Amino acid sequence: MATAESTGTVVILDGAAGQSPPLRDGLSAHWRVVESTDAAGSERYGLVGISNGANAALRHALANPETADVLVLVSPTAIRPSGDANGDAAEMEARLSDVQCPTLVVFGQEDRSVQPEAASIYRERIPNCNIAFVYAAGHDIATDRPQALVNLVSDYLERRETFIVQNRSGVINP
Amino acid sequence: MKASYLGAMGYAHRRDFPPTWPTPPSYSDPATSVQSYQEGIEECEFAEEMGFEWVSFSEHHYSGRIATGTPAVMAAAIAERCKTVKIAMLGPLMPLNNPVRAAEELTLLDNLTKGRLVMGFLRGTPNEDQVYGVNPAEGRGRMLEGMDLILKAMTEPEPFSWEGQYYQYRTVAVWPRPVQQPFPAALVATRTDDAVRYAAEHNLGLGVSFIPVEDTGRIADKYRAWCDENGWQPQPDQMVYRGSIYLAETDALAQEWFDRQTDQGRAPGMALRSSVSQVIQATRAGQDVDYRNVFAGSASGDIVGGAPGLTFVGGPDKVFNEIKAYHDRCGMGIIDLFFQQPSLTHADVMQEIDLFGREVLPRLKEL
Repeated sequence: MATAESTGTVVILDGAAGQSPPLRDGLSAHWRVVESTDAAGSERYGLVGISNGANAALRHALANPETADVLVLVSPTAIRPSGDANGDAAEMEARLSDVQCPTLVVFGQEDRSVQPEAASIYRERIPNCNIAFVYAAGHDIATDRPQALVNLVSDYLERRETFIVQNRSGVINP
Repeated sequence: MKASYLGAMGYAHRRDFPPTWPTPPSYSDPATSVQSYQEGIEECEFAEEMGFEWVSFSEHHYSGRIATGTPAVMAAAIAERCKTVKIAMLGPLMPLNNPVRAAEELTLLDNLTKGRLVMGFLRGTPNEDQVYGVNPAEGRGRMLEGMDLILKAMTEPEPFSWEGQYYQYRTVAVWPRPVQQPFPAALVATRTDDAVRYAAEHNLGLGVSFIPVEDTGRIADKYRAWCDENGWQPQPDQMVYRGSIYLAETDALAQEWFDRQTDQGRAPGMALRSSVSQVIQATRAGQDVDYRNVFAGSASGDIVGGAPGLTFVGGPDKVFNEIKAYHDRCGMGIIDLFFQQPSLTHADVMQEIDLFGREVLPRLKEL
């Protein structure tokens, strides 16, 4: 979870038109959350792309490496595994290796709209990439497991690739 | 139909145990324990020699009756002694185990056995909930999530994070990959609809244990219907029934033995205090527990974790026909048999395996 000291701006680009409210509400306790890159201002910011919005988030991160500080793709439809690639998806897949910022890709374990092999492709191609699966969630993770998504994204925005290090106490009776 | 030998690895003097669970470790003498495991291994080897096609292991804790709390360790040992049988891990108990650790054990076993592993997922008997401090109310949820995580860990080629309801792992990258692709032969051992449905939806087999043929048949009917809805039908090796057995030369001799056990109070199950049993069952069912009522009840034990009797008792013809009923009515292709009844010696069990291999198994294989 983000600490009370967390600050900065997070841009949410929601291609599903509906997943962003739970995420926006959950993140706004620690970040200034806006829903367009124009509203982000000139400072560096985190970028969260949801579903089809992941495509825009990826393109923005590729075009603006100086401002996109960290990238989170939730249920992204930007690429399709081999054999299912249209022109845009194939082009985007080819450009993944140019993503310069740390990137988290999140899929619902039961997402049927994107083949599960897609996660591996992001992980393989993007230089600093983690992939995460949210149990008991489909494509609309924010509806199925809102708190799990907020916790995961929040933790990654704050700690980036070091989010894999456990920082919660396991002490039961101090 | 094929037969599977349950490698219970029971402690040789298990007939002396108190009828309670857990069995105090003071009953375990190291020399006897060493001997018991060696005898258990011999039984598995002999079962393979007599035509059994699987040897199975089950996760049970804190008792020498089935003395494989860590079945993967036992399975690894047997895999080096039995070279052709399938090694069926019918544990791990999903609510108790770290699913990532379970996945690592299972994929390693699949490598050690060169692809002979069968893995079974199950919740475990109510007493097992107490072993690692799992809330019985969470057992079902942990089982369903644990199966998903194990299968994901076996099939995902890149390191990943898992954001579950009960499990959170930020780095999962299980080595080695299983020999059987995409994952080893697998079944869900269950009687409940949600887990049966899970098996059908994930192309997994079904295991049922210790209940009468008609009850088993109703579960099998639902399973096959749900498999059909998901566009597939199970193969015979994907339907497993586990039962306990006492086989003698004649029905009369078997019944005489069985009656003697009953007279001497050698129930096959293990007892918990009634209060503990009531609370486990209520908690599993999601019910509130009124402790005043619980404590007002009897302090004597009741049976938890065992069947009230044996599934198959008789001579070869009777046992064959009873097992055949599970094949004919339920579609079971594998019969997994628990031979090591509490009062039996190693020599008794070896005689039974011999008799079963000569008089029952050849006929089962023709089904």
